[in-house]
Amino acid sequence: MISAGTFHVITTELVVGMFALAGIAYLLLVLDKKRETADIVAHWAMLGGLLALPLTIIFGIYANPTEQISNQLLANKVLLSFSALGISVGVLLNRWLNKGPISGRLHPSIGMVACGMILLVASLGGMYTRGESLLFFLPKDIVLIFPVWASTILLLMGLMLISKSAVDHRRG
Amino acid sequence: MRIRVIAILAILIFSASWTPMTSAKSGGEGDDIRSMQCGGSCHSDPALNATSAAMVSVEQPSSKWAGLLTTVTVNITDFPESETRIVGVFLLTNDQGAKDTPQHEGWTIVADPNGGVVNYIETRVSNGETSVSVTWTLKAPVVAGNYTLLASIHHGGVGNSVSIHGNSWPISFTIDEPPEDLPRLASTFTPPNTRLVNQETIITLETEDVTDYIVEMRVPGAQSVTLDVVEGTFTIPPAINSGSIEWRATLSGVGPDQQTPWFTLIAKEEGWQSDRVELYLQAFSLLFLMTGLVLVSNRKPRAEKIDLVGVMGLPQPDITAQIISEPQQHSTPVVEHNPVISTIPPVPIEGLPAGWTMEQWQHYGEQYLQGGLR
Repeated sequence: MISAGTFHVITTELVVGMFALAGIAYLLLVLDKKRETADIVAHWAMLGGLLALPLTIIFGIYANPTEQISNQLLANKVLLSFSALGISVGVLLNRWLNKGPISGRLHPSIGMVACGMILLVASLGGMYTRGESLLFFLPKDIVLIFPVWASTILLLMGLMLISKSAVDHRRG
Repeated sequence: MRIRVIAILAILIFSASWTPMTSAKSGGEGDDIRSMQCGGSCHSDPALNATSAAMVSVEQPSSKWAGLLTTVTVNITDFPESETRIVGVFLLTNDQGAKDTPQHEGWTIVADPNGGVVNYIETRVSNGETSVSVTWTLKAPVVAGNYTLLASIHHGGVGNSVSIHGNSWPISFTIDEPPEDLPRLASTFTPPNTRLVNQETIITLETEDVTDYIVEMRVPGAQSVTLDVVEGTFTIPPAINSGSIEWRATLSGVGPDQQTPWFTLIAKEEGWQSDRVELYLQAFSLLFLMTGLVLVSNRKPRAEKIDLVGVMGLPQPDITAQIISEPQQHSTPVVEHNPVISTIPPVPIEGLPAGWTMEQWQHYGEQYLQGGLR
């Protein structure tokens, strides 16, 4: 039987490739070069990566069968990938709600941050499996795990922001 | 153009042929359940590997009763020079490269040498040493018959430029049905593999046809000591440092006395741990929070939107004056002197195209007027 770890690697390659392409396209948008093409490529590539990302996370979770997360790298991977997922969803929703290219540098900059976070997650994976990473200088043994009440507050804040944004959008 | 393409292709082909075809994974691949085919996916193609100078051998299982616990030791000697001194050891049932894990033949791995339950482990050969032995605890297949086991190793050399592998000779043996009254550990009993430092371990033996027990404990290679057993329960004292101890039981009953294999119990420092629920709740919180923050970041000031709607039908200079003056926060009311105005294409009499904002019009209006976006 093919293990979850193998599927995790396959989907990871897909996500990393898509997000790397999106990152370059967002960089072009930040630099205000080839705006029309870069806008299309950036958002479609990010959408492609985003579709594969949940699979990557699920296979990654199943690849580590223990009940407890016993490695800081794994915890950082989970938190970073979910954060990047959230940013990416926000970027794509903004673009979709705008019904056209979004001017300015803020939007593509946020897109670049999401791409950078995904690439960082992939780098942490390399550190976990092979003990090697180009980002060896980053502290990887620091994890901030919030208590349940703090996470619940954050969750409520997030839901409030999303609903407020939806209401504002409906008002036009 | 064609010459450039040929030149790029030539460079790629050259670089591909120049790059070593195989390379060892210097950090290892991690313990896991792996077939020897892993040699093709995680340690390069076995056909392209160098052959190890190390001698690999598998010892006969400590006991050969169907469905009962036993141990199998792999010895590696004459280990060659290696940069990282990491060696990956496989316990396999054949050298065909597929369906070759002990599980495929009905074996159950109760404990691997690192305290896990996998057939591939990585260990390090100490500096100055050229040999290492690793022991698996297995539950034999429940079906009696002839079985084969062999070991395979993977490691790197100096510079890790080439991946090296080697196989032991296979060993064959017969697994027999145990006699009915044989004193034995119950098939449901699983010895613990790991524990934390400074924590004593209480083990209760589950047995069949046993009337008396003797349990011994030892540090590997040292003299064993006998532990007190009360109704099949004994306590292994806590370990002060990380490391392993071994224990075994001598079981007496109606049938002939039986000695279990030496079971390894590895003591580990308490590492960082997190509850999955806490972690995933935080992860989902971050997901929604990030989405919300990004959505809010793109929200335009309401005043700007009201102005856009309100001025749609007004003469053009006034529209642009209102739109431009607001974000720039100019104190001067004289719009004609603002050079930005000249870059905005004139808005049609019927207003902006449906769904467009003024910002979009600023960037794409010219193209729209030329018919490119209709």
